[in-house]
Amino acid sequence: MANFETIEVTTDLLILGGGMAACGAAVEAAYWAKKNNVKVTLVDKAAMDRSGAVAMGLSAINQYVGLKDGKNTLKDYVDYVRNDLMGITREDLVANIARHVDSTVHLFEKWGLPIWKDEKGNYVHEGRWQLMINGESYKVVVAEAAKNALGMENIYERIFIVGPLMDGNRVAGAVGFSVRENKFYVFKAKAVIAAMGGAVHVFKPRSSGEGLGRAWYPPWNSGSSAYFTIKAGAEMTCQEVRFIPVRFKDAYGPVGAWFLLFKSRATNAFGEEYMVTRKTELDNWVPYGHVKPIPANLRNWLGMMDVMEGKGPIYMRTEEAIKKLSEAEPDEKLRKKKLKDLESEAWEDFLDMTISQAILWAGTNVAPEEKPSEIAAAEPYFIGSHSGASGAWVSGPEDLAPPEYFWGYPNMSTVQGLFCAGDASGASSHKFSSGSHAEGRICGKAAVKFCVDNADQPKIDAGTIEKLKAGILKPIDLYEENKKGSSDPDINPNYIKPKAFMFRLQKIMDEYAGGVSSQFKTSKPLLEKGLELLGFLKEDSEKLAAENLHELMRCWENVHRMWQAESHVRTVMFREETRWPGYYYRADLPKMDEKNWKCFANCLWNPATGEWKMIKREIIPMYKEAGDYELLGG
Amino acid sequence: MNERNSNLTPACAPPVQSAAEGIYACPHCGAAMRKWTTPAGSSWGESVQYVCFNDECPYYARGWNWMQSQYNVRASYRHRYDPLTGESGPVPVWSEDALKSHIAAE
Repeated sequence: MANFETIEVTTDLLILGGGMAACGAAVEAAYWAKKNNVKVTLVDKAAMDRSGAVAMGLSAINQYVGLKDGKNTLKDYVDYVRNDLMGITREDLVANIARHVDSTVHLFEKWGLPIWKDEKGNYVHEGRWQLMINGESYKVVVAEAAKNALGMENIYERIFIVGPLMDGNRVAGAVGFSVRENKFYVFKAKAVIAAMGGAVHVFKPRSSGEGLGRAWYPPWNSGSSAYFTIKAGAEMTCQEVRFIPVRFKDAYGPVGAWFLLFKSRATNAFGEEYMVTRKTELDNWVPYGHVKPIPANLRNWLGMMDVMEGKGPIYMRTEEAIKKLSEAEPDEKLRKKKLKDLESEAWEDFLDMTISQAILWAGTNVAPEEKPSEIAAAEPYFIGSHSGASGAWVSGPEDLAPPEYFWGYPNMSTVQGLFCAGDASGASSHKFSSGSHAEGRICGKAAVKFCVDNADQPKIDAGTIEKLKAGILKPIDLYEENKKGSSDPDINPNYIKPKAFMFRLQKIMDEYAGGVSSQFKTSKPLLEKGLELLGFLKEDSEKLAAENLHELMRCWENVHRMWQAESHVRTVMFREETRWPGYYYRADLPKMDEKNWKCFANCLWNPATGEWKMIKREIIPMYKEAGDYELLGG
Repeated sequence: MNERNSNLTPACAPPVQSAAEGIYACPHCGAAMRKWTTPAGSSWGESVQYVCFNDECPYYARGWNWMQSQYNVRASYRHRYDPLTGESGPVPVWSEDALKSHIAAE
């Protein structure tokens, strides 16, 4: 076995991740831990200042409810989420986050995040739930508070967590390795919070070749949350609900400013506006098709229909928008100045968020005032905190959850002591950055309570740890044993390198599970074939080889992705309808079946038998069904 | 559960001049607010709101200096009112013309 020193750390509460949810868990857990003499340890794959999806910064906070000022009610937010997810939402979880999120935002402000306010102290809203911020250091501000709360002596950075340690149905910690030095880490804990993000690059991305690695969601989020919870034996939910954002094609530049500020139109190649010409299609998806705002997946779907009919490319008509805005100025001299200003704003829209899009414009001779730019639906992502919903099936809070949704501790999965937040917990989407932090806080408090109530340290035998260590380091051993078997270290009859493995996974998912090249369409026969190929891939994962520590991380990232992929394929196959046509389309079952499938589709992998089980769970609403008022967005 | 507060402060509740005609006055300058269609894809939800597009409105005019001095950004805000919910507040603008292309016919 590769010569790695084993470092053992024993703690009470172990927080896995360094993003917004983990930082929320850290500050809250630190507070309750001090009162209860509980030790809290956090492990991050990267460095907390810039880890997680918020690493690059944001220009808005997307979830702020404004309860204190009477701006909205909890029901308003629940209605918004339920409608956008076509009725499939754990209302208790959404409401629990919504009632805590404002205080999280107030904490951000207290810690130094500039949130725009008018001269009277009112937040400047970009949308009903959106607050404008100067957010280039958003993550740094939030991480600093978490680090101060926990103390750096309790934080382990640059350690990649591979999987769980278990004591029967109770989580007992986690194992992983340093991505900087030859050290194998064993973290023993009474409770664990999984907050390691969602998954990217499970599907083949639009960006390939020289653009490989570019994505809308951070490429380092590789499905570790899903792998960890599935392998622990936790019941998972909404694994079929992937998210597909529409972005400027190939560099994933944001489209929002063009719609909102420039009032740009999106048209097909023939100048037809699909949101107008396809409007009657929304009648096929009632009641959700008549909701305002129109659910994100249905907006996608109308554009996809044009593409499938060969009416692409789809264009953002930047030239038209800029011309219209500049021509509103009657004075010729001022008009020229205004045109220059608009050009600057157009470039700045990318330069402050997605620089690569500006580079692509430059590289393809695009002047936005002269010609339109292509927009496209991106490849699918697994992101329970945004407009997807995948993640673990977790307990709701005692005062909001029905008995069927409550098992003692808020946000605890079906595994004892394993809590989930952010992208790791399912069926409660539209948390975004602030809601993920709030959910982390909910987890932090609940997990400390679990540690107090379950003061015994779970049992793990040394043999199990040695077996896990050997398995995790196996890719390095395999490489060393076989590296002389060929003249090219990347091609060898006895092993597969992680990059080639990732390509195989992405090809399977793209072609059989409804990726970009199959126009997001799939069917039962395609899914069955895909599952068969995933089975071969799983066999071959035993032959993953790593030349160094970095590749060892890549090996395990791809194993994590593979498990996310399998749970997705199985759940899409289980849900015998098409409910989110702009995310995926079951060509063999093209209609929504509200009677049979307005339910949660859950899955469970049994660690003892290695078998999967599919489960239907009832949707138990907290509020009455949305009436006309709510459907109009009230 | 918090329910929506109907007792809005004067600054947040533009007086209704003529509810029947749907004309609302800006609480900062008294000018008639214009009917504004919320952009597609935004989370405002409601299809129509009201915004004060008076370029002489002191609230909007002072906003440029306020935002520059407080947040180092070239932006201001205009007063916005949602007749469906009674909720109102500042909506950001980056130029004098921003949002005006969404003004709807009365």
